Amino acid sequence: MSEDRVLIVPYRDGPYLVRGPVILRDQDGRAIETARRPVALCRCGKSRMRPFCDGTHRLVGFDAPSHAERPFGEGQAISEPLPGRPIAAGKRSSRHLHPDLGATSNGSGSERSRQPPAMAASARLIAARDELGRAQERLAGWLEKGSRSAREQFAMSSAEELINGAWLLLGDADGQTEITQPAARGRLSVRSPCSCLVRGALEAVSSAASGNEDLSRVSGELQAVLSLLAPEMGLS
Amino acid sequence: MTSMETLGSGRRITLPEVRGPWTEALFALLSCPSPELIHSAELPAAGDALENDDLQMALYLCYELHYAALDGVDDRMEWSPVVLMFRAALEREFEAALRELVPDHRPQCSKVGEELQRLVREDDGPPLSRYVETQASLDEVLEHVVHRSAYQLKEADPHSWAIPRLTGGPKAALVEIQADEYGGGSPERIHAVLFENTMRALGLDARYGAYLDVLPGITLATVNLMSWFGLHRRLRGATVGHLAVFEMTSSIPNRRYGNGLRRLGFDDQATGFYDEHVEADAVHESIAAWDLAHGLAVAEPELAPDILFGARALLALEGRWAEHLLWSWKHNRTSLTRPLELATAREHRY
Repeated sequence: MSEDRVLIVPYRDGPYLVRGPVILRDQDGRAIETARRPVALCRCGKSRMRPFCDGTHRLVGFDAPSHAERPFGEGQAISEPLPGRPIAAGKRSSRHLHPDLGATSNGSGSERSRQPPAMAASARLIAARDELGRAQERLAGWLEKGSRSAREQFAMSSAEELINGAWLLLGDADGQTEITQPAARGRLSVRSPCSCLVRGALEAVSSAASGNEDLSRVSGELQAVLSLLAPEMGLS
Repeated sequence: MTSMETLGSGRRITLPEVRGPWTEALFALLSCPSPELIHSAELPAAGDALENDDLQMALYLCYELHYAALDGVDDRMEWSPVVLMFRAALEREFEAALRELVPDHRPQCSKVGEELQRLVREDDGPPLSRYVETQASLDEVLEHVVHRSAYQLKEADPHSWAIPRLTGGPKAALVEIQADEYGGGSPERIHAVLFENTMRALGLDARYGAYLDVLPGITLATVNLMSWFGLHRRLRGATVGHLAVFEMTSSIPNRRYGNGLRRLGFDDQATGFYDEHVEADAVHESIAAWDLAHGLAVAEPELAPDILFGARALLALEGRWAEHLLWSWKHNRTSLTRPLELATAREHRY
């Protein structure tokens, strides 16, 4: 291939292979060395030498086509927001867009009506941990099953994000109880997800999960977790 | 005793000890200026050819004629019709055993990429790399490296035989992989050279063929498989399938092998070979599975069964080899034909 242009190929269930004169930098402008050509960039997110691929996609059963996905059907603009995504520009006030545990919510009334039971914080957090463990196990079990629709994949990744965020919240909220985060949990980019983000992600899971028994249960369990964590999320 | 001299830059191996009638017959052929045809029918039945130490060694040496000089053997023996006929007899035994081990499978040519992914996903080979990562003793790790030296000191060479036998996209894909295997223009990055570094860092003899005498048949069989595929144009599909699965099953085990060495206190001189393969094979596996193997099946659909045969034969033989190692270690036995201390001690006498 011509050496003056960059070619990026997403390989099925595998990494992005990058050929051509490309340079990599981290967000602070420092060079990321790429001695090898072509460069394989991690696409599953689970490599232990990110941004490069280390073959872990095979261990985690990463599943993605090589072609561009069209989850919203033919003819729909790709820039259209994802269904149920929390940050639909213009619909919510800007203060909801920031990761802020203390943000008050003016979200939909139905969610606000789910008040957490009056429990001692420690009991509440332990109950939340148990629910979260169940949701995570169920999701992991479902991940091992075969092929999935784009909608289900979307619900799955939202649920994963939500679970990761909830583990962090649990860790942060925990004062005296012995709550340990599973070593195998994923990583979350947002340290302290704001309440509308979390609720929005849950909405996304619920709507995308419709018709899928496993995902509906995950969604129910996550709903319970979030109710229990409401004080920590500034919802109570 | 196998000792190996590096004369100049060429590979040169000393013939190992006779192991039985097959190696004995081969040595008779190789040492005679005008050898007479030996009818394989006169030789005893091979039994399980895949684990026959004698037969696999004879076959390995027949192939070594194409890779290295054999001490005391006329280089022209590489193309001696009598030696080639003897090799063909060995290959018949080998192929019969492999075809029995690996059932014939005729995939749709448009499904070869997916089929390879499925084979790798469903393969439940013994957990050798996990064992090396977490439990193996130093002696066991050294044995593992010695077994692998049968291939890694000529890493990539057997698959290179296929380059002139392919065209178009699959050829470009194979060359792209092999160029990286051969260091991408830097001799010190050649994977076989990185393996020499690992052997030296572990206190092992890094000379080509130094441990040939202690390698059991099943280890030699894993390498003979590649040479058999590589040297036969009719089996180019199998070479490609073999390479694809080799690359697809490489990154994760190599990370574990490197971790095993780190656990035992070795530094990156020792782990460099394995660390390199985590990254390199993460690049190679996609190219090998899709551009090379799948691409070849689409270009030459009649090769699809061979591609799958090469892939399945690799998984089956590697599985038996790994099983042999783990079984030996579990029973506190050496997985080599004799303990390494003895082999090393004998080496030092030379």
